[in-house]
Amino acid sequence: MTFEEILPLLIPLLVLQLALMGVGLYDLTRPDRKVKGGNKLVWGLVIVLGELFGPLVYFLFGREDV
Amino acid sequence: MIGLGPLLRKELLEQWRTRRMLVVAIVFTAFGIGSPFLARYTPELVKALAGDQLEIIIPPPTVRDAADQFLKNLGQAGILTAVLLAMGSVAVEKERGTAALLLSKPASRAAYLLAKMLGITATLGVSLAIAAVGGFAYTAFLFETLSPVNWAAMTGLLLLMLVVYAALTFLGSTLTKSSIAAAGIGVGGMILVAIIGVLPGVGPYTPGGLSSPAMALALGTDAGNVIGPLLTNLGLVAGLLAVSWLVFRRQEL
Repeated sequence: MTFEEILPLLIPLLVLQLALMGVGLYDLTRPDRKVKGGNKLVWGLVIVLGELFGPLVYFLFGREDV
Repeated sequence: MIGLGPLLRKELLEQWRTRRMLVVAIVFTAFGIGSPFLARYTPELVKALAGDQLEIIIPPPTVRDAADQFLKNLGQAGILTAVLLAMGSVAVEKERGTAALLLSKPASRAAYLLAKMLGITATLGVSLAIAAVGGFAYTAFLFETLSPVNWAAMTGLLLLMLVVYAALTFLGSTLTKSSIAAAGIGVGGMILVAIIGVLPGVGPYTPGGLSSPAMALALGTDAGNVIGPLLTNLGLVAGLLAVSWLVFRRQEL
């Protein structure tokens, strides 16, 4: 097994992870977005560091008016 | 059931517009395609990390390992997601007063609850279906091609398991006005079901017990009695929804 061999299989996983993070950060940085606790930086860290579940937790519980 | 159509449409639109369905689909797909990948490469990674100093004998991974990883990973991630989706579904709308506003229109409380539960089921089902397609493709590429019908049957049983846990948490969400308390009731119910599952002869009929026939179905081996556990778990979902309705119909909103 070499890294070059598994890279094509890893790319979709990386794309999914980045897409999830991107969707979360895009939503978070909307000017009209209000978040629980009022601190967007904390939610940004949850999205970026929370791997797959971070953005999920943000979308379910992070937004104030949804 | 008065108002089910419009309420269900509103739920599905909400699942889509709040991006819940999209996010859950991405999370499930990552687990779906990641599972066969891990099953295939974990032994080699362990060997590479251990180096030459340790002699580790790991049997070569098989398609069984891929199906096993798929069921375990999506089972665990799915249960967590089911609880997260259901915990605030009714509780938050009661707290905000949205439930009272919605039910002031021509819509019954039963329709309101059923639409909510169907919305959660749709999110879990669509996401699981996409994950299953990804997992199937990766398994075929890395191991061997299994029967797509059998793989779909396994996914169906997995979905039923998740819906039971969602219905448990949904009952909690109906009982309280706090999503955290609802999650507590959901998790408490899961522990209770796990304890009941230890009793002799009961285990296969619990939601967790669905994983054994699901595995056998995926591999095309003898799954034993599937109908009994299937009907029991469907009955469990119906029963939990009925109790939710009995509680909710007398609640002051």
